[in-house]
Amino acid sequence: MQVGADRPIGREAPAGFDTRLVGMLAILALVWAVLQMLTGGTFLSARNLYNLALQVTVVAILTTGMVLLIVARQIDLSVGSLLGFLSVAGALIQTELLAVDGAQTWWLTLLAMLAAGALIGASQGALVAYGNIPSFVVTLAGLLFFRNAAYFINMGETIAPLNATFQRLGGGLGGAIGERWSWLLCAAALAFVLWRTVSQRRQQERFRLAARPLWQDASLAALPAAGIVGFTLVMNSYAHPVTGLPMGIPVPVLLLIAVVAAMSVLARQRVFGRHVFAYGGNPEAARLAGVDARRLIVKLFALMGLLCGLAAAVISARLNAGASATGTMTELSVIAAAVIGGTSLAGGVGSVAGAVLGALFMQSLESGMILLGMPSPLQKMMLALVLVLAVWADHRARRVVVT
Amino acid sequence: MRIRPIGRAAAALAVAAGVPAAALSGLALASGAWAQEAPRICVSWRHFQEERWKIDEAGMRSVLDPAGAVYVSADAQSDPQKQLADIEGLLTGGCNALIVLAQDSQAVLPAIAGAVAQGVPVIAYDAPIDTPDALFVSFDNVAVGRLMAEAMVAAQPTGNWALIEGDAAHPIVNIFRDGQMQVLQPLIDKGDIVIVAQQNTQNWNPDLAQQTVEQILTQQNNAVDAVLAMNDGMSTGAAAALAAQALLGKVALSGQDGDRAVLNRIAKGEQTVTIWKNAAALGAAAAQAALDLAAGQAVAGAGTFTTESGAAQPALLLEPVAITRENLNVVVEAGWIPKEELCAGVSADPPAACQ
Repeated sequence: MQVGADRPIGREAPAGFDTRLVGMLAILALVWAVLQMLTGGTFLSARNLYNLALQVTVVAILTTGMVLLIVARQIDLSVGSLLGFLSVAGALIQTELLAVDGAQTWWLTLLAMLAAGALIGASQGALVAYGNIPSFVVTLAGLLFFRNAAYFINMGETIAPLNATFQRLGGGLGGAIGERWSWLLCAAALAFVLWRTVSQRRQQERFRLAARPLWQDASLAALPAAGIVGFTLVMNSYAHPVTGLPMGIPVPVLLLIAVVAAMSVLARQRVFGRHVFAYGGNPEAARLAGVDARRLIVKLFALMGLLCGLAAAVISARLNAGASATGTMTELSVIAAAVIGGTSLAGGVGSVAGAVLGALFMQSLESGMILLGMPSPLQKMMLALVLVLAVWADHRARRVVVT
Repeated sequence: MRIRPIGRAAAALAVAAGVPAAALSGLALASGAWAQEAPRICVSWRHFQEERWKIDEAGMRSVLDPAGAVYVSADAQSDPQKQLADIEGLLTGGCNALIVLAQDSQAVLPAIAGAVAQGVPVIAYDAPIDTPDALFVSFDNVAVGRLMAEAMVAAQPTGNWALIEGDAAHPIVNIFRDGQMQVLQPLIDKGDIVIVAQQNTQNWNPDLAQQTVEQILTQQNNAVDAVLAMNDGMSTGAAAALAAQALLGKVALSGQDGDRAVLNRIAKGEQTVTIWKNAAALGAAAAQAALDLAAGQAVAGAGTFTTESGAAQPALLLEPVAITRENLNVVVEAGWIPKEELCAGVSADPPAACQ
């Protein structure tokens, strides 16, 4: 019912012209332009954009899972604490169980962190789905439990340094793929955009649908293509502080891109995703249509836990330390990003791309305000106001579209 | 040898379970064999499960046991109500002096008044209690800031400094800053030091501190000579940000707490200083003060501390120790960190403590 009134962006045809997303991009561009002026040209420098890409990674990875949870009328408040717990656990695995300078250490650790995250997520999901405890309560308990568990498993002691290969997961000096690989990936991404546009036109012809004019399809493909080339250019124009060679795309940002792609496909083109939106839109109807809501919820929380494992690997690799305070209050940034990205807390509405843009929007403001030297309490107050303003504007815009 | 974390956690559990039992049996034994000359020193802990307090306790016992004093303790488990009951219980069992690590500086006052009414001297341990009737034994937090700044100025007397401060909501941040500015302000006035950035860090969060330092380095185009971070967690974030610009070890960096990972960084030449508070020394000082007070003597070296409400309180404030490359042997000799862990990964130009 509430879904039919506005046009939920997550449910449109894959190639549809998404006015809401384009609107968000326009606002982001405006904010960047203003910050560029205020910082006297520092904000849009290659170095700062490189920073920004690294800084947004953790929240952006997590928000792709949070969107689906919120769409399915659930919430996960434990993600920040899980970041801390899995960071410390991962650091302990590297330094205590495995050899910290071992060749296999990095992927064994990563695998263990992903598995632990998924397992914890699934357990929380099972408590929600089969124990009939609201997810707010289960994950609030998770927030308390895992923050203190993060402290308890190593008595609050920070573990550093970490495995050298593992550190590359966090970016840093050795954590980018260099110029050549960045351009190769860029070419692959461009080829994909082209292939998708062509195959969609073919399909439209095959089913005798009213085909869009060629210029429209071309401009629809040009926007992401320009984005891809621009992004690669920026990452390649940031020089390594020691060698002076182009850094290229950082490993954590590659991970983020892979996660966003996978989660978008999952949300829009897989049965699982359709079930999530169906259940979120109307749980009763979805149940009658044969959606196993309990299994769906367990899977969703397991997925969120898996993403926590990945994000914890990135954040601890970036920090080069397992510290129990890691990720404190990150759950709020993740939920805020999802909401700014157009996710409705009532469920049923949201999109992965929107949430990631929401995360980028918040991080841009935060990084920009530090560049401006604004006192930190003032920064947080600004972010709070922006959160409310963004959601208000979004609701206004939707109402205008409907009437 | 480093205890494995699982083992350490199990040990912590065992100790936590054992302490109340031991305290009870100690109480029973002592009340049976009450000797006029053996003073009973009662200690009310606020949350003994935290690893830190075991070090304090060992410090206390290092003074009390040789002196033939009886050590009795109770653990409030973070509950201010339980702490009131704990203190009443301890007083009923008989105390010649009472050491209180208060969970709540105000809520504990009725119990303190009870002790004072019975003529039992009270020591406010580590955390302040807002009454002129207690002796405050703690580390001098102004000195923390001062020593930190002194060590940093010794390494980097001029240039661009970035200040990474703790959570703006915590009043202790202002106390640390006051100490820092005793050293820095004259140099700032002279123009030797320029503060190019000053940022608080919510929850003292290391990953936020990392972001902040990344942004400051970007804004200053790496023209930063010193990062004055208020604790070791934030210095870990700052170190990661410096490492990403190949500046680690070239920019002076401070911290506080004596984290073992940070001590290792100091040994490697990647960090300048951490301020270390020797908890065992604090425990020993409090125990000695308790013995003095129990014997009706004045406490040597006590000064005056102004409480939150403005009352003048006798106080014994210990100086923390600035640990730099030159005196790393201090933490090894105190048993705070094993030498292998301190010196792990130290190759070129090892400090004296690693030779």
